[in-house]
Amino acid sequence: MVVGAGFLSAATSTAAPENGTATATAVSVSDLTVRLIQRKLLDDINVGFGTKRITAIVGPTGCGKTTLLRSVNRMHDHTLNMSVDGSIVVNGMNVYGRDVNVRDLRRHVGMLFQRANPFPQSIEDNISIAPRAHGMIARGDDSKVVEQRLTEVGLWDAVKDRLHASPFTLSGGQQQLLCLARALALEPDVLLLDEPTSALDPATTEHIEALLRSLRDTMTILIVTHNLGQAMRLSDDVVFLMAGKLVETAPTDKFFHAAEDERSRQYVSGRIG
Amino acid sequence: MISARAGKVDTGRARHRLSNSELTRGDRVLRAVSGVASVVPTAILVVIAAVMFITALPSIIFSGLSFFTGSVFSFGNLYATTTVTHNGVAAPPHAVYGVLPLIVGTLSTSIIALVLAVPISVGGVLMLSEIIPRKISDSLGVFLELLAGIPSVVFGLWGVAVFGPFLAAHIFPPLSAIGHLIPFFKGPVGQGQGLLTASLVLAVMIIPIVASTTRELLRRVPILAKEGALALGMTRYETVRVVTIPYIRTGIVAASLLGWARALGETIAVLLIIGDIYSVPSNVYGNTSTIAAWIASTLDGAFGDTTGAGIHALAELGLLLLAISLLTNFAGRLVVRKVSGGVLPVGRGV
Repeated sequence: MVVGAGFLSAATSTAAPENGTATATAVSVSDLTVRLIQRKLLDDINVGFGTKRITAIVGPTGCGKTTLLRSVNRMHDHTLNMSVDGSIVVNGMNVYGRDVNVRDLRRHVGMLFQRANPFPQSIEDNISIAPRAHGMIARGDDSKVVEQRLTEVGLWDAVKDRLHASPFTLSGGQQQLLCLARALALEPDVLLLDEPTSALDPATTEHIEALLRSLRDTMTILIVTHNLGQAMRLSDDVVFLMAGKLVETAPTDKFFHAAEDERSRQYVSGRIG
Repeated sequence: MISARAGKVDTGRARHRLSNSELTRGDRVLRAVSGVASVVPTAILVVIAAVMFITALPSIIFSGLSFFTGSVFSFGNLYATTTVTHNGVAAPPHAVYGVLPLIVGTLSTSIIALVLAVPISVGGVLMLSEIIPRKISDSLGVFLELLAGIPSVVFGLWGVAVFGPFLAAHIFPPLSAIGHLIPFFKGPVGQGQGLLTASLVLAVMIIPIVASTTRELLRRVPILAKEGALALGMTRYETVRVVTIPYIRTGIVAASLLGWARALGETIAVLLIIGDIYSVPSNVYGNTSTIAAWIASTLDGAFGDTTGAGIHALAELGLLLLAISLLTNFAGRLVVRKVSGGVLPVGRGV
């Protein structure tokens, strides 16, 4: 908890007025170093992500944004030759601790990917499979949960007549919304988003951004984005990485208008990127 | 000028036809080579089918439908000085060509082999690539490829000398004991040569085909799709069930067809193991034969038939095998089309 303190104090001092209380850290990263074989993808990262805030992780291509995001829900476990040192604490749970239950961790930390990846199952099952696997819904309640989650993301009217159809009959944007609904069905505390709108049209992007804003009241959101405009519109805080190192963390407004680090200012102004 | 040209290009077939002046020499060579290559496989199939049909035609006329329904097969008295004529086709006296036992033998051995081999192959490969750590699975995978390289005559010899006697001594008796519950499984178990032994060896022979095809299918499942399940806290088993299997389902049908085709046509291993007796056995342990094995073992006798009727009959048998192979292949493709039916994304793999 000490680790995020600097960032947090900065966050509280300029506390986003619409949010009020940004006092807790939902995800705190300490001394995180991630290696692929010998190469360091992330080098000694210390950062905290505020509870019920949207934090944008930005930086040039290859700076380790996605690597940082995927460290939070241990997706590196499935990649050969990746090693993770340091610690990440999510709501008091030590992610890389010896006794952590990865299944349980991921039930609390949802993820949305760069491209929609619905299950090759019916639209309905896409929503209900995971909660059912986690024993969160009784079989009879499936349809209720499905309707609730699809309504939440604004997809219900479009798909209510074809719940048994393949999700691949939907448009790219609808598929991504389905994946969001799928993640929300587990009622996560933390939502990880890896450039979720980079492949989508402006209208759908706007729709998803509005959804994320409304979700901020109930969960902590980390979003990797290449789109500085999106970071500016959407986030409360910004984490800026370069070449695997943390450069600066600041409230969004400060980052874009009065960043402390010269490199941040250059990145914001488009001189590097 | 530009618009006029565009209008002209857009009309009808002219758009698709490249004039020779637009092609480089390399283009023309490639076009010629690939053109020939695209025709060759079709041509070979058509020529083989045509030749088989022409050779089989006298037998088709001679036997008619009884070829498929009869269960007696004899080249007749090859030393007789007279011939008999039926439907205008001459054959040695007492010659009968009814191949029902061979159809039964071929279908039953290949289907039993398939039913055993597909779950083992698919299950094993899923285990290897999705569950077991990569380092171990890679070395285990080598054995799969080695298995594919074993010559079928070795399988045959192993089957008749080692595997068959072992089965007859240790596996078939208990199987026969519970055989009262399953049709065709009770009764004398014999010496280990017979239908079930042949089926089991065939299963071992087609496992590498089905398994290696399945392995290729698994490599093509998008990682992103699997990560979607893992990121929701689903276990590897759940991920396999929810994501991986739906992605490879249609491919497994195709892999099974490849295996089935191999089992249908396998000759020497089956010939050595199955006993090569011309009868429909009363149980699965009994001796019988298959189309391929019977053609191989009786060809010598057929050449002794100076009327040519024997060769014609074997040609019809070969044509039948060809037809069965094509039919299973065709049926499989229909299944694939039915099952896939737009469930999976096209061209969206990672």
